Amino acid sequence: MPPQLLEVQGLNSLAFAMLLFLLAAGFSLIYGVGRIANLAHGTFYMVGAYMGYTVATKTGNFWAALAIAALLGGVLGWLVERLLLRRLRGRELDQVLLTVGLAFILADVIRAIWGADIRSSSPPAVLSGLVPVFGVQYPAYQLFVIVVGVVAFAALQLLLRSPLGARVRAVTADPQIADSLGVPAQAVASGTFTAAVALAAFGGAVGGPIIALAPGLDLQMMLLALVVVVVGGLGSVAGAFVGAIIVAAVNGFGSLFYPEFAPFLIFALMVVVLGFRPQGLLGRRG
Amino acid sequence: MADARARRIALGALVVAAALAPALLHGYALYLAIEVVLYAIAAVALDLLVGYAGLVSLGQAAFFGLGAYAAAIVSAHAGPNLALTLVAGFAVAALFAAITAPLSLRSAGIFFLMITLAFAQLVWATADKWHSVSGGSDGLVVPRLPLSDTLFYLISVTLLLLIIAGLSYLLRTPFGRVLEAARQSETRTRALGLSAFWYKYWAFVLAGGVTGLAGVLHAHHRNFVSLADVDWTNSVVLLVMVLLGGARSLWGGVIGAGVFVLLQAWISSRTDKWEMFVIGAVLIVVVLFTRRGLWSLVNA
Amino acid sequence: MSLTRRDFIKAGIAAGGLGLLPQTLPSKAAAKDALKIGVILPSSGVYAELGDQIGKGMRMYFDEVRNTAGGREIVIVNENESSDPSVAVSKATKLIQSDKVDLLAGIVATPSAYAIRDLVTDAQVPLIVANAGGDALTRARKSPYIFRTSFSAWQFANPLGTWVADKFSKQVFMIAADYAYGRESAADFKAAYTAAGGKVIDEVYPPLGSPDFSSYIAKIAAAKPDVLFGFLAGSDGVIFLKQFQQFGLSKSIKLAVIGDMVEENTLAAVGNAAEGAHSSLHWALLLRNPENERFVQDYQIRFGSDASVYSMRGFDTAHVIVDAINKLDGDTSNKKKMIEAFEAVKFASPRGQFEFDPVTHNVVQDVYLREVVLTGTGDHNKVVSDLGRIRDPG
Repeated sequence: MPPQLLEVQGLNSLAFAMLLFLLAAGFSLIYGVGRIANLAHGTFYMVGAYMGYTVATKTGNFWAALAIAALLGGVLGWLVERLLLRRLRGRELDQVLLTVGLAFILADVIRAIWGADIRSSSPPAVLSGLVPVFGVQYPAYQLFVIVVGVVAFAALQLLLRSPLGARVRAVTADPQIADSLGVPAQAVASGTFTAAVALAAFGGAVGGPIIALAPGLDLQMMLLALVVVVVGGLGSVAGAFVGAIIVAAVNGFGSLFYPEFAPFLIFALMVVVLGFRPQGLLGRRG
Repeated sequence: MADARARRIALGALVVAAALAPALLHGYALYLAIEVVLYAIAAVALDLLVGYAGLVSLGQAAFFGLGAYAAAIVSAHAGPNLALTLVAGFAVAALFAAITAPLSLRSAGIFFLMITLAFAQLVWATADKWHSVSGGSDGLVVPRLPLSDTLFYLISVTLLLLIIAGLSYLLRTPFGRVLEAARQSETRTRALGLSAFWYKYWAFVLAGGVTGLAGVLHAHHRNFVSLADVDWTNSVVLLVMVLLGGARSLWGGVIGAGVFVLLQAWISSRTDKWEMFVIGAVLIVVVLFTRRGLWSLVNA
Repeated sequence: MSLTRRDFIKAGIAAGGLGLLPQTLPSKAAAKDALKIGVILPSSGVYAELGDQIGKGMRMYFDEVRNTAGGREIVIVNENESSDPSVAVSKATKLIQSDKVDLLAGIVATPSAYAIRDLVTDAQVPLIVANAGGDALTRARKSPYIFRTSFSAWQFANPLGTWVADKFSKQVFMIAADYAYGRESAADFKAAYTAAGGKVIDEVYPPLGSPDFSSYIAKIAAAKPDVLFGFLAGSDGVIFLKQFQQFGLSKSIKLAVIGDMVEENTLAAVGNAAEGAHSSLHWALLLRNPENERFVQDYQIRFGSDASVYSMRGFDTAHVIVDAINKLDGDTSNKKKMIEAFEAVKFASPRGQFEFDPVTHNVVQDVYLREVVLTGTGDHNKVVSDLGRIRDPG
């Protein structure tokens, strides 16, 4: 195996990992703060991807597309939380069921609006083309995705250390005690949900030029995101970051060396982590 | 006393009559009735896990699929023989449950959900790659059983009723009581000197085997087995059926299966584009407006 | 007490459920003499786009003949194939038993075709397959009642293999989707290619539905082949082509692929990423013959977009049905005569001369070598040469 191949594959895995991170971080936070397993998260990602695609192709402004996708994602998340999830406080299984119903609904709506055609957006002109990276020529857009992911991670970590973040961490650790200490657990959960969905939609728009948009995208990404949070640990943003890198690397290098077994490896990894360290690498028990 | 007993016999008769009535249908209507029954079997099994053992599994498609593949492979070698395939399907599915449960049961709550999903995906990945055994993405044709649809329906619904009766009985025995206790509080159960683990274990294995039976029936009903049978969306659908119907009663599984299958068939005959939308909407409505699924409406 | 009420209600639900069942039967208001065609195409899942375009092609042809065949009005009953073969079985069962269709048409996915093969054969209902290309469907699993208007994997892969070895390069890297059709195409290509003196450097088979092909592209780049043979379906093809271009490989490696991978619908999604790609297929948008020029024009006017090979397949499928039923004067009671009528269908199609092989019931057709070129209206497929009249060996 030539070293360039390994380097390119490493960068590839990193780029895909960042997309997974944007999706998994939100899922992880939602669960940590509200104990909700949001099975519609992949669908929110897909909504963001399609919206980003439409805005980018109609206005030609890629950056606007990213911003609008995030914004609309946030609005959608806020509506879902306010009108639907809030009524099911404490009923965790019912909340999961609700998100499943939502995923079904959104998937059909997306298909009704955008049709079944496979779509793909293009990177903005400034980010197309190859750039030299440690001796190989590598697509600029993929590098951009890596940068976005790392910046998002840094931003989230900083946010978590802020007073706002302290509330999030408090509610994640123990909602009842947080409440008794004056941290409004419900408000924190709502806000987190909204932000997480915005992040997922943003991730979808960012991923558009790399991954094709077609019915079924939501399920693909949802499944991978679940593996990521399992490996990295629920409720932990750093866990989502590390988990995403591990999963993308296993998937990427697995496809390179053992293409026949790549899907098997991912789920075997999931089983191993859950069996022997269920809280994931960076999660906490309970 | 005699009065109450007479009433109970009357209900029993009513239930059996309602169950046998669809045998009078034919064609597509009978086809759908069979679908309802075999999904009901899988849903009732999951119902046992969710409602009584407190185990929310997102991996039932593995057992369903294993039962289906077992039926296909046995039929290919020994000819289509329902008794044989039912036994084989139950055995294979129960065996998989028995092997994976010790690892799965180390987790609880959402982690249990995830690990059951992960194991189911391993089955899927294996079925996908092991072309020579599973047909891979081509699938396997299952030779026809020498049975009329009506007879097949009667056998299936009898099986369903026996399963419900058997599980209901089981739940009234000490086993069932401990299971319920373990669902409510593992610590207290252990404090009583009982191992919550073993009760959950056997419940899991039993549920797995029964789901395998549903898979066998499905294979014979459609005369085809494919990767779609072990797809994780199948696990989601089963969970939806259970929660839709109400997890706190075994009949909830039957209701959920019936509503889901019939609703899907009805929508798809009207339009081929809004199936999931309608089902999603029904789900949301049921979740928001009933406390414990549709069953609770009946059980007011 | 509550037990009694509960069970009465239970019985009521059962009865209600039974009452619901007949409602799944469609109303029988259609004319007694109408020709009922059950069309099974995916409107959801991975192949939804193909199903949509095939459906459009079919509708366009039926409208051209004013929805009449053999003196009978054509009534279409649509069902969603989805991506689950056992759903296809379920829908086919409904169409045959409940809607009592005279014949079935459609089926995009090969596993779905295999799944319903026994059903249609036992029920003696003709199935006109509009897409599913698995070789076995007209070989080991052929049926007197199944006719395929589309292609077999061999028909595209075999002539391509010979052509690449003769005209392009004696060294090739292969990538194909890891499922039955992908593997068949690859195997058929490889057999012809090596028989013509070519050498395969390496082969990779990514699983279906991969969201990311960068690892495979890295491997291809490292091997530095002249030519890449490929077959990837649907969105897999789109992602691959874009990443292929993003990594700069589209400049240094020539593509020689199965036509579906660079068809018009894919070209619309990948921009110029596939420019210069050579492919084998039984049709091209820019194929020059009077039927095709008219077909493409009519399609553009009616649907406002370019026709694709899927639209063409739907169009021809409808044509086959109408011709056969016309030949029978609308009489679908004699199954043997029905089969003979279908076998005898011959006409000038947008793809060239269309006819069936009476032994395999697979279409015999010209296969073309095409190239993706930039025209005034964007990137499209243009015919470079005719690879000949190709008949699947069966």
